[in-house]
Amino acid sequence: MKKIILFALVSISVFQNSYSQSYERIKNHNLIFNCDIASGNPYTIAASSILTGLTNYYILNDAFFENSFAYGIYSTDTDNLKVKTLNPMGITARELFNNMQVGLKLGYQTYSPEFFNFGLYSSAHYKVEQFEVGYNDDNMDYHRAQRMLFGATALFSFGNMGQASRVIVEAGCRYSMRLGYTSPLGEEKKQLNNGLVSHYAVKFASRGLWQNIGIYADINHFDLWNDSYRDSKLKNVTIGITWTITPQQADSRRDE
Amino acid sequence: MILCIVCYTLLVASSNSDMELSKAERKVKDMFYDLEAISEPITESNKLEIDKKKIAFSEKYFMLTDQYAPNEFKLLGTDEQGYPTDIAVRTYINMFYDMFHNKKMASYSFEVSDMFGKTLDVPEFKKGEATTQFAQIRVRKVYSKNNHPFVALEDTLIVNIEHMKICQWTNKSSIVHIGNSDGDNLLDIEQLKANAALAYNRKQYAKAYQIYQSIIERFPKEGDPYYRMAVMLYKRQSGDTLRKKERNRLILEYLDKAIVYGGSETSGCADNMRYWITC
Repeated sequence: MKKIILFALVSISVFQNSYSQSYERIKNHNLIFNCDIASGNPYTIAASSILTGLTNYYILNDAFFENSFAYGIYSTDTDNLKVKTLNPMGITARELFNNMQVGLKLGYQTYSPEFFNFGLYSSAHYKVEQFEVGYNDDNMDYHRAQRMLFGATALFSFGNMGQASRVIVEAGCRYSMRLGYTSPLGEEKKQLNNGLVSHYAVKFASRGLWQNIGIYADINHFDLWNDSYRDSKLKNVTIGITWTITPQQADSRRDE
Repeated sequence: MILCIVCYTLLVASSNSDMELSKAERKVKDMFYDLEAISEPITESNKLEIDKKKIAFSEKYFMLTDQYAPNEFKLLGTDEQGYPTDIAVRTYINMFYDMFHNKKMASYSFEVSDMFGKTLDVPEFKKGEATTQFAQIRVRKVYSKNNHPFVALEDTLIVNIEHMKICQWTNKSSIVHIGNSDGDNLLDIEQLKANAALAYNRKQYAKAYQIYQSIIERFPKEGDPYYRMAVMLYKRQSGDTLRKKERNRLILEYLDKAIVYGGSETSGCADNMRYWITC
């Protein structure tokens, strides 16, 4: 059943724009203004892709929404203490909204026909992570961390406008500010530390099938758990695949 | 003293130019020698050599691997595929080879009868910058059947001096990349393009734009200037007085024309640029 749902969502996502049209105009690419949506659940992100793709196409006629599938990797310094994310393929409410991140990016980039372009954007993201902690798989405790991430990212684009593809490399730094934490020890948000997160991404912008797709990593450079609550240290890295359904992408699918 | 220095400078510049021209002529001669060799009857001793020449032909002599060559096989009645336009050099060499080695078409022969060249001078070069960019070589060649000459053609080849490779090859059968131009028009176009490029490199954008405009006025089916003008408008190097809406309309219009009239490279670049600015 789950596979059928996933297949249906992906199929709709691919063919959603078959009968639609966009109007063509020269767009202002100097302004970076995007909304990021990431999820650790493929059903959620497939549904989000459909909705945001339709919005990009019919309402905004711009690549405003970006989607990502994110996977959190957790590690502790305590032997035998396991930390694992919720089932990515699950369809309970908790699992559907596992590892969600929503935010805005605002900045400026050069967009000239030359090979090299660059830009800088600031970002603000809300992130909720859910994971289980325990010493054996049958007895794991539920944890949920909520935080805000504020930061700046530099981007470098390689590839001139005469080419069909370009590569965009991003590197940035974000400050993670705690908003809330739920665990068996209570709901005191001080269980969670504040700290720095570095962000790296490599995106491939192309006219072909793999247009606007990339990979990224958010690396936490601090211990998520506050020492006064636990003896263990919790490290986290989030890796993900990111993509954008653009109005032109939809048009080219229709033309095919 | 000053007069001597000026005379010496002119002499050196002139001899440099002559050297470049003779190198370009040598290049074109080698190409036609290769064609003559390919047209020879195949024997066991020359088969390998002919195959090698045929395979290396495009890369050895041409700037681009997908460059156009004239489809003179239409005139010769050997174009069995019925190509409607100019053909890629690779296709040319295959058809040329087939013409002489296909038993159905036997009895053809080919020879070069005359060759003469000159440099395309760019009058606006500053003193000390006088490097010749192109050489134009004209080649008269004759196709014979059963030893009777039946088609004589004059090819015009433009050699890029810097790379010492051929960047244009036309004769009266050519119809695409320089429109319906004959050799003289080709010379004009290359001259004007060189002038525009020079002005652009000197940051004389208004002048470069004006030259490109003059090219499309005379040769409206020449694709490259449309692309250059679109880029200049997009980069706001020209068209200062245009309103944004009009500027954008012109950019898209020029890119569309570059896609239609440009060679494969220009057309591809224009198509890609159109995508990136509207996506």
